[in-house]
Amino acid sequence: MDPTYKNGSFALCWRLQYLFSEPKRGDIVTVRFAGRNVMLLKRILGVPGDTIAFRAGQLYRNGQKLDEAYVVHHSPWELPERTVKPGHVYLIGDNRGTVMKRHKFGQVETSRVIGGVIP
Amino acid sequence: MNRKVLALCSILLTAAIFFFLLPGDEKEIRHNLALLAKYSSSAGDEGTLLTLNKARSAARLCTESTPIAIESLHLKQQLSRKDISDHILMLKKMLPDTRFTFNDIQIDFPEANKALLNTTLSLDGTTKQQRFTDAYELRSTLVKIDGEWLFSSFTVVEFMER
Repeated sequence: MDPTYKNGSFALCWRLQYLFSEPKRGDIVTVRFAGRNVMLLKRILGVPGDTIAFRAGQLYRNGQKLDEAYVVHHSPWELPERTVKPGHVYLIGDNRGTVMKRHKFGQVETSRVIGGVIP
Repeated sequence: MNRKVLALCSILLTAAIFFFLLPGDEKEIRHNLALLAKYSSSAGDEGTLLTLNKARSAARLCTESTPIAIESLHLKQQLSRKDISDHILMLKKMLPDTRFTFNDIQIDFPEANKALLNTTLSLDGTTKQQRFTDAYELRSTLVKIDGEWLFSSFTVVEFMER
């Protein structure tokens, strides 16, 4: 999640964030990666029904190019359009300087989203 | 009063012995998982004979034909014990100084002589002079054959779909 969150920095997970609401586009969340203790920090790009695509490193959501001010480095990612399934959210990190195949991103079941992040 | 206290202590002690010392299925499975981690791990200066023995020992913890699936690579293969041993040797060559550990272990017994295991596989090692750590969610099934619990399938779970 560089540069938004630096490697080695601390962040707290607010587990009650989605107690009475649903995850929204743009939210930074903690996702259960493996078991109960291994977590990822990712940003929500899409909610159910949204289409997500990458063309020459630029994100397109529902056919519209998005201006992502939080992304500093872009790599020329190409990803054909796909639709976020019901009960899922589309997650990605802010560090887009790496090649696409080395970046862990995609749609996950909402139940894997543990909570929001403080700060 | 003393007799009652003595009787209660005897009951508690017997229960403690049963719980902590006598073998159980879950204990045996956890023990086999710890062995699998030990045999898969490599220290940089491990000799060839030790490496071969470890790979064979790890394969003996599995059934004769064990399906392995890695969802992110769309890989599904049925491996014999020899294949498993060969793959572990290749892995040890690729990651010559790597520690395997299994954490967050959950074991269920849906039927007699069959177990379902969910765990987190953590890797901590050095490759090409660079330190690395990685974690995977692993699902496995085990069967009890001739009194011994053996791993009968492995699936590396991929929960993110691009």
